[in-house]
Amino acid sequence: MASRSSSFEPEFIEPVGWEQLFRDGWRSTYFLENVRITNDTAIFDGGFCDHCKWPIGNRTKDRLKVEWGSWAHGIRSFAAVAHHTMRIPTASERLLNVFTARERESFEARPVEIVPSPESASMSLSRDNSFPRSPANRSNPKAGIVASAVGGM
Amino acid sequence: MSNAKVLGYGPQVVSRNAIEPDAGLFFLGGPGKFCLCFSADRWQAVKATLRGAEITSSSIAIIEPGEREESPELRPY
Repeated sequence: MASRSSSFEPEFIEPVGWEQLFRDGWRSTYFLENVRITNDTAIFDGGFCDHCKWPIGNRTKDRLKVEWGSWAHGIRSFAAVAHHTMRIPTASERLLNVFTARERESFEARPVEIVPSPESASMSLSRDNSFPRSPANRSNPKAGIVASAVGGM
Repeated sequence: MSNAKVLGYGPQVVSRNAIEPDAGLFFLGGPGKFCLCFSADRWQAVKATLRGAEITSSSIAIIEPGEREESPELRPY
């Protein structure tokens, strides 16, 4: 694939004498953090600890609700961060579709509800190259068109 | 995560036996910090499919199990 000029993939300077460690070509990619969870008290049995801010108990069946604001423009894959502690990976259906069936078996994906932020309520969620692009999302911004992965990690 | 003089600061280091044979991806890290790792061919496929998604990536060092030292003694840096 021809790389686009907008992609940022810094050249990695392999340590001289240790090139063999990188010859397999494994790559790691990151989840950005620019989404907000709006129902964080409902997503774990015991809520969150007031002191350490980490979740208590198991993940409930409640859908993760993430706020989608202007700050998220251009984001394609990211992690929702709860209380600045636990990160919950969220991804577009487009990204999920990249995974093979076997890869999908290694984690559990659940639908996510998108909640437009108050300051961006009038912003079209599907404009330009913004993510996500689901046609359903144009008429219903609360359509569950992203998913969070839990388990298998 | 390497913080040694040999590999410099930052490169992620994974023991080969921690990766399932023929795996195309795996998650690396824990609930507070993690990343998604792709094999070379899967990464090319992801980039081709998500053309223009502006996802960045970095190289991972793969070491053999015998190269991993459990509970190493502290050494002068």
